[in-house]
Amino acid sequence: MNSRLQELLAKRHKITMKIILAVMSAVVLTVIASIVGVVFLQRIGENQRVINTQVVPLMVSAFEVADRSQRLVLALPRLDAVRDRAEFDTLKIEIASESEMFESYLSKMIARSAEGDSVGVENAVEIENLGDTLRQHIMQMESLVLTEFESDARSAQLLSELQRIEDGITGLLVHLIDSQLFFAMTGYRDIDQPPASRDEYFNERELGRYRLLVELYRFSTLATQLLGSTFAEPEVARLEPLQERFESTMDGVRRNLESLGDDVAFEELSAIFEQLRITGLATDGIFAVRENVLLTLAEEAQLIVENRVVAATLVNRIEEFVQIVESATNNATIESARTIDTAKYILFGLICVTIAGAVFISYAYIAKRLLTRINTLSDRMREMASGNLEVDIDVGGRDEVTEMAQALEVFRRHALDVLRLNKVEELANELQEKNSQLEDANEELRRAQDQIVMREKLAALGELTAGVAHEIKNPMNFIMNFSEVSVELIDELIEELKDPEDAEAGADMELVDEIAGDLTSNLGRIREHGERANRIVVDMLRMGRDTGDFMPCDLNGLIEQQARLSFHSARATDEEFQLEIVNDFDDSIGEIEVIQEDLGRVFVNMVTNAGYACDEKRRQLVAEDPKSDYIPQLSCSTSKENGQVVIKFRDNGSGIPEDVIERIFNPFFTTKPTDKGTGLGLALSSDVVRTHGGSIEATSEPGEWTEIVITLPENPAKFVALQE
Amino acid sequence: MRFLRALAAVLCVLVCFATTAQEQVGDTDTPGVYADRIVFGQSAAFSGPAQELGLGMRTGLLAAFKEVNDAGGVHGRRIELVALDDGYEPEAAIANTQKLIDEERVFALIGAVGTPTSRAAVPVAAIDMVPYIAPFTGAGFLRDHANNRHVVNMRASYAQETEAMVHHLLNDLDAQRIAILFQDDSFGHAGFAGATAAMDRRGLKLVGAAVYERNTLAIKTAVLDIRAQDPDAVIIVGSYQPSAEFTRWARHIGMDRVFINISFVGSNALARDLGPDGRDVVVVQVVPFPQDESLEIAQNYRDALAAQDSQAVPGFVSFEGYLAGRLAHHALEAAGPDVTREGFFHTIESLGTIDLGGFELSYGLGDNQGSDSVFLTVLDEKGNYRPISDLSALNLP
Repeated sequence: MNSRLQELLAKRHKITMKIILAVMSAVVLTVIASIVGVVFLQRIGENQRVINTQVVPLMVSAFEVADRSQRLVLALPRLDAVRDRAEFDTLKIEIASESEMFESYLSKMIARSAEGDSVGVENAVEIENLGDTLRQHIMQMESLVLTEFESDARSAQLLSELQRIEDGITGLLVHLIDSQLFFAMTGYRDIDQPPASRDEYFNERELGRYRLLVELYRFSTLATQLLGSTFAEPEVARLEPLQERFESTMDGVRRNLESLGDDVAFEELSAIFEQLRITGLATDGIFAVRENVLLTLAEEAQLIVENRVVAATLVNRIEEFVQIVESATNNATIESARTIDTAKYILFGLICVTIAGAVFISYAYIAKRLLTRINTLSDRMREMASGNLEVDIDVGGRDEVTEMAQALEVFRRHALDVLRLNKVEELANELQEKNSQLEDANEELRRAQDQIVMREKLAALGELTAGVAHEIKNPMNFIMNFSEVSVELIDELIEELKDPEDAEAGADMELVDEIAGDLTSNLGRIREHGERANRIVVDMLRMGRDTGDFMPCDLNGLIEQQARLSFHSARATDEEFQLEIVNDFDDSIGEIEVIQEDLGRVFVNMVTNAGYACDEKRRQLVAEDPKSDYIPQLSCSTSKENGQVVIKFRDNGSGIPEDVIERIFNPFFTTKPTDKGTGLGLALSSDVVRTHGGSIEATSEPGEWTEIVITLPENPAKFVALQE
Repeated sequence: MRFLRALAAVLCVLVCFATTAQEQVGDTDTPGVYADRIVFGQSAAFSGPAQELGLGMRTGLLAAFKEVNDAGGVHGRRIELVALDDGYEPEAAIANTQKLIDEERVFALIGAVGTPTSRAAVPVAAIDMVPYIAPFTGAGFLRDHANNRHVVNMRASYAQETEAMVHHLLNDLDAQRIAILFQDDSFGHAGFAGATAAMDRRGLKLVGAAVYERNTLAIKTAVLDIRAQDPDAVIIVGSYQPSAEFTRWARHIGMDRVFINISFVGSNALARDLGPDGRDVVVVQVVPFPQDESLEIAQNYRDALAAQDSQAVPGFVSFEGYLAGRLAHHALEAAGPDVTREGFFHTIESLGTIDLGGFELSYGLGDNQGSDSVFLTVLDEKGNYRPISDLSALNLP
């Protein structure tokens, strides 16, 4: 159990753990928010239920009632605007249904307002009363409109009646007037009848009748006009004056008719004028009907005005009612809003906490801790991928990123190792290659060196050729001289022997013996000198060869021989060459094992250089002063010092400048003209001396002298063998 | 979406075409033109004082149509007539015209009687450009082609009639003093204007003018008025009853002058009304003399009338009706089987001179006036007309 806890504790730095923690926190916050939400939603729901079940239905009823009341209010103007019976009937049914709806909505509203908290009951009752009034108005209007229709129908009837009467009167009167005038003028009444006598027709009575008829026509026109304008009269008050004028006109008609008396047309005219009178004045005559129409219209107008007042009141009451309901609704809504606000703040707080947490985690942990490090890690990885393994991978922390970093570090190290191994291998290969190149170069160099050395050897040999020739020449001279002497001796001998004086007497033996002795001595000397020449040649040949073998050698003899050879070589090429060679040999040195031919070349070199330096100086001095008493000298000495053989060559030549002396053993360094030296002499000499385990040093006083000291071990061969 | 709607519309139209084509073979879009018949409408006075005219026109039309139909119709279609009575009342004329166009769906209106009625009906017909053929009136406004292209006048105008009257009175009789009696309405005023213009052209003036009220016989005052001017001749622009009354009374009181009536008077009725008093009363005609034996169209008319109604007596009015019928038939024949109203007008305008068996009509672009012919007839004491070529033939007192 404990170990498990510790394991968990150890994991507390892990990202997984942190994510789980974060998610769990989020879940917890969400659950809290949900609980808060649910609690408040329940409270809001309770408020809403109140609104929904009580306030809203009441509100709806109120609006419905308001809407219906508007239609009911409009019913009156609509009825007023109706034109015919069919339209009226349709509208009446419509209004009846509207009214019914209104009543049903109203009763519903009243019932609802009485429910629960009894909102606006007084108002509702008042609305009901106003609605009743409105319905009464509608009923009144309906009956008025019906009356109006009846009156209109009667009016139309009367109008056509009037038209008919007017036409009748006109037809009758126009003809009567026409006839009367004609009669009054001509005495003709009927075309079948003979004309009346002039007294009968052309008199005051007939003209009076004509005048009466014309007046009657005028009255009839006036009367019909009055009746016609009655139809158009909009005011009741003015009906009475019209009627009065009509009546007086009809009086006039009556008077005229009476005046016309017993005319043929009297009956007819009376009848039609009576019709006119009745049409105007009967209880259902034009005036009465018009009055009725105008009164109905006035009543309708009055009703509409009243209706407007009632409608306005109704609208006010309904508005008030709606306001009351609205305020109730508002209260409930405010309650809801308050609850919603509280919930909103709490949830907002929770959200803020969540957001802040998220932001904090995002910024402080994910961005700063995690992403930065992961980015760093990623950068490092990229860097490593691009080949730079020398990077710092430490990202700190103790989580998975750290582990990754650590793993990467391990990887980096391994990679580095591998890289190094690769490098070493590469270098080794390179080295090997270089080595082989070097070896090749070395081999080449060695070969070149060998060639150079060989050339030098041959050059040295060449230089000595003259000396050798000189050396050989001496014995050759002896040999020639002795051989010539011997030939003469032989001739003498032969002559002795052959001398006839002596022939019988035998030869003077003594003389013969003497000659023979001389001959033997001569031949011995010839042989001696021949051997000498042979030795010189052998030595020469050996110098050209390169055995490289250490062999016992008389060092002093070698020096002397080589110095002599060298001197004679120089002398052979230059008659003026002078060099006094002074040998000071330590005989105790005896024979030592050296590579004779190599060392011989060294000595030749020493002497040649000394000779050159002295000759230079001599030439210089002679050039300055032909009578110079300078004698070039080379002192060659050997000695044993501290178990070492020291060989010194000291000349009194031109010396070596200080800046040159350091370099004289360098290969190819020379102060001689190009054709005189290779620059390898001293370098090779130095090599040879070192080969023998010795050393070579030069000291000089420029213009005075130069001394080369060669130090060799007592037994170079042994020394070299030991060294190896 | 729009495309689909358009497609649906096209399909609908196609379907409609298909169904109409199937159900009504040969019927056309032109109202009144059916596969087997063409319907004409007539609104005229078949009752009241002017009934003689309306009935006469109808009889003539029916006679012409019967003749055509008996001969196989026009392009295989029978010609039918729907006649409605307007009693010479403009309001009724409007209602009838409306009804004929909207309900009866007639192809054209034909044989209307009267100036005021035509004046009322012509604008109604103009709405749908319904042909208004051969109205029994000579009023000038109907000859106004620019405004009334749909009116196809057959007879000469009142102006032409009054011109002829004045011409003959002056030329034949040297009757310088001419008075006029006219009905106090648009017809009468048209005649009055025509006569005044005719006199004006000659630098003369009418010596007297009197009016009488329409639908009354109160002409005695007029008689007195005209007698006061002592004219040589009296032009009467009115209907037959007042005209007869006027003539009778004028002669009765000793003013026996030349009485010359406009064609509209109703010749047969006038003759009948005047009876023996009709002697030497002149009536101007716009159609040839119906009993003219030499005229082919008159012969056709008499045959057709006999075929239509064996009792009928040939007369000017029914002759005019017959001529109107024949004109319609002629134009329809020329317009071809696919006749439309526009095509009908076009045909009339492009036919040039139409010779209906001796009665010539000529129309053209801007000219909806067919005949310019005015004929003189005179009554005898037996109530018979005879055609005269000039007024000098009269037995003047």
